[in-house]
Amino acid sequence: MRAAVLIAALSATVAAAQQPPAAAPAAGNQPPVLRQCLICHGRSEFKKVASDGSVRPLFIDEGELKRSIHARWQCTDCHADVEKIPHADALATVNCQRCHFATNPVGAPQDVNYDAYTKSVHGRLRLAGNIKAPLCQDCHGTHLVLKHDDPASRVNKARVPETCGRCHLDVYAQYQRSVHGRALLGKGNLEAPSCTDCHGEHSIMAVKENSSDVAVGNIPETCSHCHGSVAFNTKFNIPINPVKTFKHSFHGIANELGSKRVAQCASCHTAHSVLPAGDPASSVYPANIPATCGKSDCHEGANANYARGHFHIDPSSRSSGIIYWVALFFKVLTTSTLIGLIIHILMDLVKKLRMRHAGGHGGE
Amino acid sequence: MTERRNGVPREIQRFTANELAQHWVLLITLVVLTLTGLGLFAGDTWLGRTLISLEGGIEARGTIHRVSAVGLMLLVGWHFVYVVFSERGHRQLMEMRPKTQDFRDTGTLLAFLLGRRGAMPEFGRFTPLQKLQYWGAGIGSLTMVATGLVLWLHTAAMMVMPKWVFDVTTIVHGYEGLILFALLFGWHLYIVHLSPGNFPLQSTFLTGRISTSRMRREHGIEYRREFGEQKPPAEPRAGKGEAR
Repeated sequence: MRAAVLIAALSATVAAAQQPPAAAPAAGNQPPVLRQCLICHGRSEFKKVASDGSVRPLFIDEGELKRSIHARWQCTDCHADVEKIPHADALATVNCQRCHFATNPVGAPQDVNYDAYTKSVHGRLRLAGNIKAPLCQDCHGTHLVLKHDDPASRVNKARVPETCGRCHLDVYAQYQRSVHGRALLGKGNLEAPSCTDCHGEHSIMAVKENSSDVAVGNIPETCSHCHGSVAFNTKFNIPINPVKTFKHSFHGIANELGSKRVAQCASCHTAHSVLPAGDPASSVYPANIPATCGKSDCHEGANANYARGHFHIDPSSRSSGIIYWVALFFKVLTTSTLIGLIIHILMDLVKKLRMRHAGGHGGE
Repeated sequence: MTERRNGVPREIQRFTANELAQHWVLLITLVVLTLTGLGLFAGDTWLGRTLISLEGGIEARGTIHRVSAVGLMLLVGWHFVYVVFSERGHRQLMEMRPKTQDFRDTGTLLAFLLGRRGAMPEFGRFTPLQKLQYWGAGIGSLTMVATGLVLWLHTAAMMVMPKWVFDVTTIVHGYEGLILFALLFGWHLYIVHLSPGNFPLQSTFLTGRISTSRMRREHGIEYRREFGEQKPPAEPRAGKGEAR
């Protein structure tokens, strides 16, 4: 890459950089290499201007490095291809697996997540050479890596949407306006789902892949992690049991049995713009029902009649109105018919068997 | 052809080939419709899932159900033409009309079954219970066809009816199917084939023939109209004849 490099005070640093790191004077608890790197990278105006005019800041905030979980490591432990100063224009991408591999001697955490990542849509695209697909550091951070339970971490639940949103801009915008986004980002309600609660973390798959948690056939299961609980639904004023009633419905049964054509949760409620039915912006707001049901390949031509009635009907609940009463009538009718038929059969059977025993002519 | 006694043959033809054919179409379509329908009715239970997987999945289940439904609808049309326009069919329909005597006879029959009355009442060509089975199957089939068409053409149907009417239709179709199933594959099957004297198989539905001795016992009024007070020859074979 041909780039004009603006380096302030470069000449002053050369001598120091060529000394072996171990011999460098350590100031405080700063790793020795850091002192040398910060001579250039510690300056806020340090940047690189590419021939196309784009500017790449090269400033490293020392405060971030110190707060990072990796504070005790040297710059060159990750940027292992820096052997002298000034170093090459283009450095290799940092490879986290230098430490994070099974049985590593430095105690870096390693679990199945790396494997999961390589099989995920992100990992596969990256391994196939797509540099837009994220590596570890794209989500976990570079110079400031923090544990996920630290609220400042980029992979902390409340910050995940922002992290994913750096690439997935449209979805982030939709999510922020949804009931889930408002609850998590607006109210700080950690019971609301972040991206990873539905999509998975390291194992994210493309929606069209069957193994995805948000594949058409798996969405009801994914939503049921929260909305399958009566206590959860009650807490958030969801009057019906959405999962149970869906599973009873034709859509639910067909979905369970592998039909890809029927509606599942996201078909009507959308994936990222979920809003309560009372919100005029909701896809399930009565006035929006015709458009929602009338999507092509669904019920084309749907009109206002589609909104005249209850949704997520539980025929055994009085809140279903006339459906409850009709279902009750038929339950009584079916049961009494069955009882009547069985009584008649038993009466007939007893009479005929008795007549046969008595030598009568009830039988042949 | 058949052996006679006092001019009474051993067997007579009770149902025509046309009537037996209608029975076969009804039998086959209703068995298939019930199995495919029950799969969906109980779709969130192991029974429903098993039935649907045996039927080749949710899409195939629907196709089989609708093909059979077309068969049933054709039969309904065929039967309608038969009982309205054919002389023989129309006579059968007139015999099927419910009469007040049927209610009295049913009471007498129940008293007899309970042992409060020594003799069975005498019946005509169709007994009150046979009429109940016919009208049950008939009205049931018409209801199933009407509600089923709404479910089949749901997208168009819901453009002219509110969603709640559609939901009620779904409930009616499911439970009416269940009642029809109990009526025909429980009660009717017991009365015709499983009851003592008929078990294991009573062959009128195959041959259309009934022995005159059974006819005299179970359709006494019809027998007398045909043969007067003459006695019929002995029963030809065990298990042959017609249900009460």
